[in-house]
Formats: sequence, C-alpha cells, structure tokens
Amino acid sequence: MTETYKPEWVPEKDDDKFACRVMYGVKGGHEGMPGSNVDLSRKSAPVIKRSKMTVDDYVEGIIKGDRMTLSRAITLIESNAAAHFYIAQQVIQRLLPYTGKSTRVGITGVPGAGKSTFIEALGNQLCVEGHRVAVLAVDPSSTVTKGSILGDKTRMETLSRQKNAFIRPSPSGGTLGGLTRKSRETLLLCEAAGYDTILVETVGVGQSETTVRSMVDFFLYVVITGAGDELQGMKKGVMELADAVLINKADGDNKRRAMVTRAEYARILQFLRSATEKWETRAYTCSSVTGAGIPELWNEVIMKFFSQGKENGVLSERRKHQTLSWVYSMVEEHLHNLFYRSPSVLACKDKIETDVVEGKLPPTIAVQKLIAEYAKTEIGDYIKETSPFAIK
Amino acid sequence: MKAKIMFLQEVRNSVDDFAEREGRRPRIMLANFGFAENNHDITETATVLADMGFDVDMEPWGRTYIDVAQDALDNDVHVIGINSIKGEYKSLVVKLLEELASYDREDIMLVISGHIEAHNIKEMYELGVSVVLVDNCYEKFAKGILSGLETILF
Repeated sequence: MTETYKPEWVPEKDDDKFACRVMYGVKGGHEGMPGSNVDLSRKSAPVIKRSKMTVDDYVEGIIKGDRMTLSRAITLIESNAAAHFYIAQQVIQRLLPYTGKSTRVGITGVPGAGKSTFIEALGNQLCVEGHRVAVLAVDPSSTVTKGSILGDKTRMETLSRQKNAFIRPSPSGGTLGGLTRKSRETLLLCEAAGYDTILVETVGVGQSETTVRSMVDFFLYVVITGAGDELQGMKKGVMELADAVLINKADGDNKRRAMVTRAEYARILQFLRSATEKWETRAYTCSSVTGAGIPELWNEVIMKFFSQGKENGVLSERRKHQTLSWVYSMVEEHLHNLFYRSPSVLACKDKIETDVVEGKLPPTIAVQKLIAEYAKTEIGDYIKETSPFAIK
Repeated sequence: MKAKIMFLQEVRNSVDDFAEREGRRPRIMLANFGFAENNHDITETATVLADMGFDVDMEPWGRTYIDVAQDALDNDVHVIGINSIKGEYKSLVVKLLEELASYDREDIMLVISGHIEAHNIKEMYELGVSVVLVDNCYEKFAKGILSGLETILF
C-alpha cells in the first residue's frame, strides 16, 4: 500500500476523528522536475582543439577556392584581437593580386523591404546561369549588450543550398554605416576565392547606409510602397547614391500601388544628380516572390551598367577612387589602434579617467595629457602587432 | 515559460572577457529541425543569448543535418544549438557529429537548446553533446558553453 500521512492542519486533540490522509509526493526523478536524480554532469564529449592555420594555409586554401578556409579567413579578418591583426594583413597582402575581377553589387533598403528575399531570388537565378555568387549579409549588433541576431540566412533557404553560392552573415559590431569594419577585406577574400559576383547586403536601416557605396560598383536601393512621400526621396542620403531604385513586392494586390510608387520615384529621380557619370538612375519594379522583373533588372539594367561602365572607363575610375578611400580608412584604423594600445597611454589612462569623472581634470586638458603621453610612446613590439606598416 | 535570468551581468562579463581574447563574440547557430516557421522556443533562446552578448545565427526551418553542417562551416560558428520540437535528438546528434567529422571540424561544439526529456540527457552527453539546456536555466547553459570553448580554443 502507498505510504500516507495525516495533514498537519488536523487539530491535535481530534486526532482520531479525522479520516483524511494525504499521499506523499513524487520524490524527484520525475521528468522536468527540479532536483531530479538524473546525472547532469558532463561525461564524455571529447575535447578536440581547433586546428591552427598559418598564412600559407589561408592563402593556398583560398586560391584553391576552399569554402572552409574562406570562412575561417573571414573570421580572422573580422577579429579584433591584436594577435590576429598582423597575420590577417599578410593574408590580404598576398591575395590582393587575385582580386578585382568580380561584379560588386551593393544592396540597401529599409528593414523589411525584402533585401534578403530579393537576394535569394537573384542569387538562385545567377547560380543557374553558372555564376559563382558570394553574399555578404550584415545584421546589426546590439549597442547595449553587443550581441546580435543574424537572420538573413533564414530568407535564403534555397540559395544557401546551392553549391555555387557562399553566404556569410556578419554582425555589424557597432560600426555605423550599415556594414562591418572589415566588409571590404571580406569582399576581397571572396574574390580571391573565385566568386565572380559579390552581393553586399547592408543592415536595414535607411537613410545613411552609405559606406557600401565606397566599395561596390553598382548600388541598388530597395524600397517598398507606402514609405513616405516625395520629400523622403529628396533628402540627401541614400537616394542620391543609388544606381537604381527597386520597388519590391510588386505582386498581387500590391502591384498597382507599386506602379504608382515607381512613377513617384521616377519623378524625384529626374531632379537628382545621378550617382554615376553617364548613367541615368531609374526606378524599377520587381517581385521577389514570383520572380517577375528580376531577370530583366539583372540583364537589361545591371549588365548594361557594367558593359557601358567598362567601355567608357567610369568603372575603373571608380575603383581607383575606392582604393584611395580604402587607404585612408585603414590609416584611421591604424592610428586608432596605435593610440588605444600604446603602453604609455594604457599606463596613465585609468588615472586620467578617474580624475575626469571626479571633476579634478577638465576634459580638454585630459585630451592634451593623453596625446602628450602617446607622443612619448617608444616604438616597441606593440607596434609590430598592432600596425605592421608603422615599423620605422 | 519566462526565461530565468538572475546573474545576467555576470554572464555578460565573462562573454566580454571571451570576446576580448578570441577577437569576436561567441557565435552560436540555432538549427531548427522542427517543422514550424515560428518556433517559439528558438525565438526565446535566440533573444536570451543575444542579450547575454552572443552572436546568434538563425537558420531556416526544416533543415537537414547536411545543410546545418554546411551552414555552420560557412558562418564559422563556435557552437551549434540543436532544437527539435518533438525532442528527438539522438539520430540528429549522431549524424551531425559524423558530418562535422567528415570535414575535420569536430572543434565545433554541439549543444541542445530545445526542450528535452530529463531521462534523455545522460544519453546526449554520452553521444558527444557538450551542454544541454536544463530547466530553461540560461546562465548555466551559457557558462557551460563558455567553459567548453575555453578548452577547445585556448
């Protein structure tokens, strides 16, 4: 018989008159219950160390077109650790001769405009035509917790299964402008690995995602119907940099509205100076779901842009400018690293910080002091690690 | 069920510390083997881990283990979190481990981030899973992942 006991609320003197008895509860071992007697300690999963790769491994693997090496190289490039920086620079330097041959297309738009879905449709089409497509998709990192949720691949279900497609989602890591700090280098790695079409998808934010313009040839702005009036398009920002404006979701009930929106954008675009010389920025419609309009956009607009650009030299001119702007963005990054990793700055940083917080030191004087400390820095090992180009 | 998070800041600090040494945040891919597009469990796990400072990769639903392994390699994640609505993990774990081994990438950790019956947990560890999310206790889960990565990476 099951064990039972008298409930504690039974009055003591009436003990015998109460017939009520209570069964004991389940003592652990029951699924989902805290304190279950299942052994939860880690048992056997063997620890396998991550393999180390040298510069040669990276370079050879990428030239061979090995996906796994490419993906690990991108990790290396994106790394913030000082130890990775030097070797990443070497990898890039040795791969530079293999880059520059691809079609670089940047895609931006507001969140939910359908950028990822558009890439899914376009990428599949390109893969069928025999292209090798690399997609760099950036999603925002939290400014509060620094974590991120990378969801672009959920929209690229069939494209991610294609053998000829490589999709790499990356967190923006707090960089403004809609891309990661290292998007350009990532793009170059993909080119070296033999991908002939690179699609760069920015964070979906809207009016200032302009960094991508400085690293792609063709810049596509994806919009949807019902997103503001003419004034939104006239504002300085994305619109004046776009080589084509694409009204997505032109299907079903939305088709008529998309046509109206297209006409509106076309009207604004007549007033804007076009982003590329000798090229007229126009508005087009497409549907990523049905695929309507996408082949036409690629073959008749984007391909025409490239053939025309190669003929009249606008493209090579653009790439030269982009290389220059890359130089200066790298200079800025090196200076940033040199300052923040300088041993003499690090040594006095804490004290200056507390002084400023307590109000003993005005911020302007603190800046002077920090810069003075930085000027005292001796050229040491730290420079070789942080900035291999700065060795005197 | 509302996730239980008591020592959020503590976990965040250790994640930051990890990111400092590794050069990037711990990156986990949540593989959705279920057959529902909006899997509530995955949404919860993803947001909680992102709040702790992880980079969380989301996967389309209804993937096979071959797709998942390929995606994990392309994204170069540290950890794959397996999520199956029905709680049937055994064959998935075995197949996924084999697939990763065929690429010589057994350093990618396998964890179970979905609902699992308590009496199956021991078996999972024996199969080669590193951490299991028990009782929705995400701190323990995150700490387990970080200490696992510690031995694999450094």
